[in-house]
Parts: sequence; C-alpha cells; structure tokens
Amino acid sequence: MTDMQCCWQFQKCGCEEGGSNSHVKGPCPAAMEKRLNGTNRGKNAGRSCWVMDKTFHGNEDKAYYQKLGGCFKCPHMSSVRTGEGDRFNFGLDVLLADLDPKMLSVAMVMYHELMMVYNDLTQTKQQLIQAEKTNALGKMAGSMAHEFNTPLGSLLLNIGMLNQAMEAGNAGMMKKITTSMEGIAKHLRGIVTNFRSFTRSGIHEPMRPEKLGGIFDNTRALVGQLASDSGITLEFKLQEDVEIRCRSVEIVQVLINLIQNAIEAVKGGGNPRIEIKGSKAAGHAMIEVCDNGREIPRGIKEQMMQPFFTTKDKERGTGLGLTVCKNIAENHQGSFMIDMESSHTRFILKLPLDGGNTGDRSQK
Amino acid sequence: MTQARILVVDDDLNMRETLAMMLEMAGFNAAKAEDGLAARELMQSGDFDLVISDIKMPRMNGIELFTWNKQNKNIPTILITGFADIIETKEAFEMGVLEFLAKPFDNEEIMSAVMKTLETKKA
Repeated sequence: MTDMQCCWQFQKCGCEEGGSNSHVKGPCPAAMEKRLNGTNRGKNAGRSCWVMDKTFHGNEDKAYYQKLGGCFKCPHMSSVRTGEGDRFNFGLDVLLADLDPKMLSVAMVMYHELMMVYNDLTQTKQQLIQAEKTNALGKMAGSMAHEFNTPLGSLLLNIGMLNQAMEAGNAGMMKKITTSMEGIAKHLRGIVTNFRSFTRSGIHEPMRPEKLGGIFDNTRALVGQLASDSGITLEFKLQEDVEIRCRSVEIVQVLINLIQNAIEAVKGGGNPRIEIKGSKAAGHAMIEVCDNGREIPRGIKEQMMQPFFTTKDKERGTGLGLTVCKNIAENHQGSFMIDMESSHTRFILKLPLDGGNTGDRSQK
Repeated sequence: MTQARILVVDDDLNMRETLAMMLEMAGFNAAKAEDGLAARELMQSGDFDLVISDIKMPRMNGIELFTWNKQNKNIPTILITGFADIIETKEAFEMGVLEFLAKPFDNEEIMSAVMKTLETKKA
C-alpha cells in the first residue's frame, strides 16, 4: 500500500513527478527514489525523504546527514513516525543494502541506539510540556472556580424561579426562564470544552489549519478571568485573521504561559495592561505578547531563555516555561524570542502560515 | 416593602439578568449595572434600598463600590462572589457588609439575605 500522504503532498511543494513545480528543476529526488517505494507505505521516498540527499527547497547541496537535524523537527517526519508507530522504518538500511554487511550492521546498531536516545528525549520533552501545563492549570484554579460558580449560581436561581412559575401556571414566564437556562447551559458547555481541550496532550494530534482568531478566543476564555481577577486589562488585537498549521492546544499553552508570566509582572502596578497582537509578516503569522511592567535589564533578558532560569521563588517557578514555549515553536517549524530592544517585555512567536512556503517547512 | 428598589451589580450578564428577574418576580423594583462604576452613577442619580453586588468586576470592583457607598450613600449591601475565600469574607465583614454570599447560591439563600438586610435597614 503506497497511498499514504507523501512529503510533496504534506508540504504542497508541487515537486513530485508531474507536479506544478516539477518543470523548474525536474522532480525532487525524494519523489524519484524507487528503492524506497513502499517504505512507511509511501510512494518512492515520499515517507522516508529524510534519508535522501539533495532534496529540494534549500537542501539541494546537502547530503542526508547534513539536513537530518532539521528533518527530526519536520512535522512530516513526526506525522509519519506517529502514523506508523512500531512499523516505522527509518529507511536507511534500504539505501545502504549495497554496503559491506559488517559495516552495515555496525551502522544499524548505532542508528538504533541513537533512535532510542531520540525517543527518550522526545518523551521527556512531552512530559515537560505536560508538567508546565499542570503548573499553568494550578494558577488558573481560582479563576476556574469563579468561571463555574457564576453560571451554576444563575442556573440554581433559574430553577427556583421555574418552580415558582410552574406553581403559578405562568407559561410566559416559564418560557423566559427556560430560554435563560439554555443560554447558561451553553455557556457552561463552552467553558468545559475549553478546559478539556487545554488539559489534553497535544502531541498525538495532527497539525491542522487553525485561525489565529480562534486561538485567541480559546486563550481569552481560559485566562481572561485570571487577568480580570488581578485587575489587569487583557487586550487581544488581530490585524489579520491568518490561518496557521498547528496543534492549537500547544499554541494556546504558549500564550497562557506568557500571559501568566505577564500577569505576575504587571500585577499591582499602575494601569496594568497586557496586549496580545496577531499579524502576518513575511509568510509567517506573528504573535506578540507585550506587557507594561518594569523594564527588564538586558542581562536578565539574555538569561531568561535558558532552561531553569527564574526570577520567581522555587515554589512558584520551574524556570522551564519559556523553554517549553521555545520547544513548541520549534516543533511547529517556527521561532520564539524575546525582544532585546523593547523597553517593555515583549515576546515574539512566529509560526508558518498554512500552505505558506516559508522555506522552514521544506526540509526533507 | 415589596416596592423596595434593589440595584443588582454583576459583570456576568446571565447572573445580572437572572437576579433582576427573580427580584421582579418577588415584587421588588430591580435596576442593573455591569460594574462598580456604572453602579456608582446609578446610585448618584437615584435612591436604592439595597445593593446586591459581585466582588470581582472590571473598572471598579465590589469592595471599592462598597467603600464609596459607605462614605456617600450608606445603602445596605449584600456582596456576592464566585471566588469566595476566607480573606475576602473577613475583609467584607470588617468593612461592615451585613451579608456575604458565595456563588452558587439558590433562591432561598438570596431571598433570605435580601429580606434580612431590608428588615435590618427598617429597624
């Protein structure tokens, strides 16, 4: 079976044989390597492109081992690994079949050991992301109680009124009350859906096209109350509602990490304010999270992106929040940085647009 | 007594509308405000017998509204909150709030607090 999604379909590059861009330099070597046909159920090397030399889009002069580091971060490779599970075949043994069997067996042992280390690291990274999420949820616990208790209170009051209206046989009032209850129940369902989507692990989810506006809405629903409880203005500004290819749970987690940090930074200050801006810039979606807290010295800004660096006490900060943000951005072929020049704290998250040809996504 | 004017202050639309509807059903005259600032404006221009106010609200919260009310109007107040904690409760009572209810509460609890507060005012 060779009908699974190949790299040229995943990347929409048009570099397969007969594809829309194949006339430029001919088809990509990944699309032509017949020895790998069927590997991971793909056509030719379409699902094992990482072992191909000189694939297109900036890798034309690179041997496979020179681009392999980028391939390990590529969402296509990740998707093939997840999809194939235990059947996943790295594919190198097929290409090295002509080598001396002794050399090949040494190479394969080394490869399997490397893969074991890589799997352990991937697992640790995911545990880290989940641990940070638990940390974020802990901070939200108080506002979650408020989020649930207010509509629950409205429901209880409506039930009491409904009983009275039924006793009085007042059909008009009963209709009014049940309409109100329906609205409250839908509101509660929205809250539960949001929290459920945030608590699940995103790693097993495929990347999907998502509107930035939807991601902002989910984030606002999760931390809006926390900001409001702290007397902080939280403003979401969307210059253009672009579509990105992502695991939305993870992008929401990045925004929540940054907003929770910003809340701690501006709380108690004059006119505390946090702005989350979304825009399109050079083939990327750009998300900025800025606050009007005190200026952070350049030396501290430089250390902030290092794992385990924290200015909070040990009880409140793991020092891994920004590392998790950076990991998530890189897993999405994007970037995450702090603005070193801004007098306020400003983080910038760049993510590839869905279907956008940014160069970053084309590593094979 | 049943014509008493009650001001409901809550930034949650459902809660504000539901409380006002319940009070109207019980024969009271209910007005609504979405936060402390809007409530203060209504209180400056009209007379109220009772204020039922949420605590956590944008612009002006329930504690700030109560402080202003105590100094300027002295209208009996019931504070309600969805995020009750011991410090808030203690702070509210120390400031002279007669009734403090944690959400979620039912009709009997809020009506009992309303009647008790109005009776205290009359006395």
